[in-house]
Amino acid sequence: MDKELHLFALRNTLNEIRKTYPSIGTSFIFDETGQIMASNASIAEKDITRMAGTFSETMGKASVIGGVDSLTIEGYKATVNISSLNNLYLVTVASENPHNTQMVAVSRILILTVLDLLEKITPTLATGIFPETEAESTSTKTENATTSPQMETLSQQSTQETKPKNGYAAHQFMVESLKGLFIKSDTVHVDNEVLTKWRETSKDKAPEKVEIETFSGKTIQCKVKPIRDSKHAAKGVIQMPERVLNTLEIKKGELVRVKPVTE
Amino acid sequence: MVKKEKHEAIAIGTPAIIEGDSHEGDLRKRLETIKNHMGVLGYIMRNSTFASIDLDDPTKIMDYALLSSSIVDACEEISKICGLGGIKSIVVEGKNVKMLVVTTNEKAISVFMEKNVDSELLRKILF
Repeated sequence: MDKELHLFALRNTLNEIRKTYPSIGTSFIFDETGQIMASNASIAEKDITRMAGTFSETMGKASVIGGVDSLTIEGYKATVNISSLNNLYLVTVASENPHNTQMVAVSRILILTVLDLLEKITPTLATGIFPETEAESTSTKTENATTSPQMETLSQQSTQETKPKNGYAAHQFMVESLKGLFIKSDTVHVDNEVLTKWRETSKDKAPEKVEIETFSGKTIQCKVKPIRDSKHAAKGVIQMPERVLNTLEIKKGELVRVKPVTE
Repeated sequence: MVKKEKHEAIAIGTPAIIEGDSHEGDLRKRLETIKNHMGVLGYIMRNSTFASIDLDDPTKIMDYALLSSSIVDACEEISKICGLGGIKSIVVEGKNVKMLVVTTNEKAISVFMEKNVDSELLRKILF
């Protein structure tokens, strides 16, 4: 999972919560090991680490009450609330009425929503693994597609392979639109190196068609040709005519998975 | 000035009654009221020299006492770090049980209850 993206999103969410509830002076998120995940705190980092460590240690003794969902400490000057969010803990220090359950509930829901969203988005972006669709489960389900998540750059991701049942490697490409007078509306262009690889897999028989699958599970079969422009050849892109883009309801820059069609 | 008696013993099931102290007597009555409140599982009151425990399930006395003590210690440290200026009350919501801790006159009172019980109401009864 893209940790930077994850932390950025969490930090921004903390900022937004603080804007909504100005009485929140400090907020941060730490994990079960006491490691700080995101912080919007005026407290020194070593103190936050100490606090997280103290809390985590105490949680070990809370099995008698079935673990801790939340802890609220009402002080004379402020109130601390620590909420459990799956494997993470959200801490807010607010000067407002400690029994303002709405503030705690909204903060908790926002963070959980962002975490849920990140969970859904980042595995796809970071590992190139598509969510399993019905079509995939019947025809192109890959056996090891969900193993070993990797942190890679977009260009690296775009040519990532998954193991297919038919022996061909499915590749992930970034979409580019193909325009011109002599462009065939049913033909896409991919990197020649990939076509060569497919040809090698199928004993020197180059695939004439490919199946393109989008994030949303839409699929289409098109004829395939190598990219002529050497500038684009090594970039892991697939060039598509407008008609194909419209059919798949995708735009330039999106990611698709492409695999050759076996006759 | 009212002289306080010190109890060295741990009273289990029958809470310690500290005679001659009207405040303590009131507190005792309030704890009894709370104990009879629906959903309340019991309480632990302790200071540096004595503890008074009244829990429905005696097998959990040690676990609850240990948890209560750990929570108070942890919260005191968190309070210092976050600059809370001392602790008025602590509410711990577990998956099954909720715990309210209030500190007063060197005493820490931990009340254990079912999750749906209004801990704020109990706090108001106590103080």
